Amino acid sequence: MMLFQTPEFMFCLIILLAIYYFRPRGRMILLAVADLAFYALAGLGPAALFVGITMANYYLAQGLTGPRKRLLLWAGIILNVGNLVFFKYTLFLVGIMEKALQVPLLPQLPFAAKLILPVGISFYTFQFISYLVDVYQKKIPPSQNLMVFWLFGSFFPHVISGPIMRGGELIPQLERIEKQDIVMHFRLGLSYLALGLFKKVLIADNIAVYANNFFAVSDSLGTIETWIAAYLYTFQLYFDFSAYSEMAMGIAYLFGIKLNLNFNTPYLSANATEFWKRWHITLSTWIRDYLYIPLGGSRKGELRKYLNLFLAMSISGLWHGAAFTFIVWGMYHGLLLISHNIYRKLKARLGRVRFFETAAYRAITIFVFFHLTCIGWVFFRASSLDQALHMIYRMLIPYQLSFTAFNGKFILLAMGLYLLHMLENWLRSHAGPLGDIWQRSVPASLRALAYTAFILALILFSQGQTNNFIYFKF
Amino acid sequence: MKAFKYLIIYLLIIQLLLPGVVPLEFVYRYRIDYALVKDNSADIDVILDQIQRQIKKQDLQDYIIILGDSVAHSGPGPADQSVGARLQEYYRQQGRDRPVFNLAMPAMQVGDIYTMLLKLDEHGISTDNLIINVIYAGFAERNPGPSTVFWLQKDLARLDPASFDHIEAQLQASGSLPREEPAQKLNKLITQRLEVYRYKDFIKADLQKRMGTNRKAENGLGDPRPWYEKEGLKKLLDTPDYHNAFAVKPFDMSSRNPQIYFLNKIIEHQRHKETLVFMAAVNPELMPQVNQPGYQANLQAVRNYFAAHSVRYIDFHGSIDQSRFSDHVHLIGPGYSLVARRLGEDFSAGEKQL
Repeated sequence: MMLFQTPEFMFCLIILLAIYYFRPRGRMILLAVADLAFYALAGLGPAALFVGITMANYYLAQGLTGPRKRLLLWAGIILNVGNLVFFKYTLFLVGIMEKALQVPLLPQLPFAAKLILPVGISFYTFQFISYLVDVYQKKIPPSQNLMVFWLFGSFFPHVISGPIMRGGELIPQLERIEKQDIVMHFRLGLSYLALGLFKKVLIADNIAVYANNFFAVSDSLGTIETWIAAYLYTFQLYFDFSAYSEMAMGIAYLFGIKLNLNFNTPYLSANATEFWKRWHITLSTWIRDYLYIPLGGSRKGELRKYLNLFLAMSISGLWHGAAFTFIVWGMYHGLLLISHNIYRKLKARLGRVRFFETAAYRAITIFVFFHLTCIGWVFFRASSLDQALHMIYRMLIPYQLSFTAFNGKFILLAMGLYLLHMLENWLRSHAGPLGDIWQRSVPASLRALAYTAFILALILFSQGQTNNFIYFKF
Repeated sequence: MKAFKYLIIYLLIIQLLLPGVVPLEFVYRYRIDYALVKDNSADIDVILDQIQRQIKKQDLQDYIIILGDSVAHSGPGPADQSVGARLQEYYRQQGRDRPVFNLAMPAMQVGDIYTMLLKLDEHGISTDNLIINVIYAGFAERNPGPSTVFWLQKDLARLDPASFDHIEAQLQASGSLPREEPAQKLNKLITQRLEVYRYKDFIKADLQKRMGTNRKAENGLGDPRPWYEKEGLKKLLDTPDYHNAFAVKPFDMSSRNPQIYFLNKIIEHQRHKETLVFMAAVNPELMPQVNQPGYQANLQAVRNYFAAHSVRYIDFHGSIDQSRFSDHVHLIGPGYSLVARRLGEDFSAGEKQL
């Protein structure tokens, strides 16, 4: 596996970009080979599987305009979901059955313990399903070029952890790949790449050390320390995953391809509905379009809508990992969404519109919802439900409340990280004018000095090769 | 585009000037900083580069190199109480300014020591005056571990492929030859050529020291107290690994024993040079088998081996008071001072004989 933040990846990227830039006619084949090589570094077996699944989806989609299209759609969905379930959930399901039946099944199914989760399987499964459904619903025509379709599935910046792209968004760009103006987006690409590197190398990996230490001794923590553990992981996860997504966007821009934004400062959300419009956006829209709406969405009455929300979020939780902690995390967010829907209705009945529109009210709701999010992440990070419940109990019921200098340091760190999050939000909304000022008012030699300092900081403070992205395991 | 050109110029300046502006103390002070190097053995090359620069800059002719394991490294105490520091101090008291470069490192095996000699040649650092430490366990039968080359397998493969081939099976059997993925190979290819990456660990450690956030203190190699103040040490040493390492079974003193194979190579390399080998003492209170006839016979066999090859040799068994041990084989500060003084006296005596 080659991680974006490593020197070997940067080296390969520069070589690849140079060839891509100077040989526009060979771009498609170059990217196709690069994608295969990138994926194969994670293992030849998973790469062979991925090639097979991609081919199968390509040919299945060809039949989705014919008379047996419904059958083929279901065959495609079963193939993709079956592939995911087999590699990701077999061991989990065997464990559940063992407990339910009180029979040791694992010795009879030794392969289950040996299954290795192919990287990116959860992401490419969703991407292929959405493609098949879109072709079936005639939103897009089936791709007629196997090479383009291979690039759609395997485009290396996003193949491991998204953003999850739709066929209608990515395939047309790939079809024009030899004519894409890559210079136009080069600066934007570098900016996103730099933002991602900053978040991953300088923030997420350094917070991870502390967050891991706190979670490792969660049994012995008091209320304040447990909240600190939750805060630190909350920021670690955001900075890690948004870093990956932004690096993916940045790298894609360098090749003239636009990937969708996955994060929009989600911890500034005032409620669950807003949060899911700002957190892992490509997943939440996928869940909405291919799960929640087909389940009936809000078309079949209030109660059914809540049930659909709950189901969709529970499945989203399970998608993240084969463990009850993830399912409970999904259910928790389902409940938060339902609660917000009910609360919104209550608010409408109360009618105090002006109060609900004040900045103070918004600040309070953001503060409350941020803490509800932190509680949810405890399920996401904990190694077992017991650990998660114990930690949440500690967070909610005061225990060993002592304000020490040690605690204070970490609370200040958490506050600093939140301010950084707010700063990111401000920078995003002022990126255009700020970029112009930077380019026009600062001499090139000084800008280069700042870039040099940034590169040096990245090299000096990187934690080495071992720091994977959290979402790689999903 | 203009900024990009400046960026390239700045990065080139750093690449060209960084090694020259870094003082030796930045990467080496009395001994290798184990806390740093254990996570990245490529840091050894940076240290050797800087030592070589110092030698060249100061036109040093008369200096001593120490190679060995944690005993010569002088764990678990601090660097300024290590054998190298004390030996340099001994020479200063004798009115002689003789730098000592202590390149010993915990877990270094005899194959590492041989490879270090080849690396020193590569860096143009003289091994005319060399002190090596060996330990009893090094001669004991390997079952299949410990590995004969613990840190420097890749360097041995590069610098002496024949020797590497000779011991590859032992390295495989002891599980010390991890498979390197293509990405890791490319990573090394790049990071070992870019000076910022090469000096990264040292710059980072220095910054952390200045900011008071160094999580890996240089002296953090263990508990430096005397052994009798440490609870549970006897129990800790009562494991099959330690029993095997200090077994009284007769040593195989032929070149079938990897220890002898590499010692022969070292002796061959050091022909016509000043070389002193010392055997680390063992605490008889913690390792009572020291007094058994089989153990003593093994020590005699080692003595005979070095005598047969005309290599000056000191066996510290029985010459260190047990109060100066930190555990079964390591010493506390005064213990290392005593070793340093004896090494200094013997090394000087050897030179006078010539």
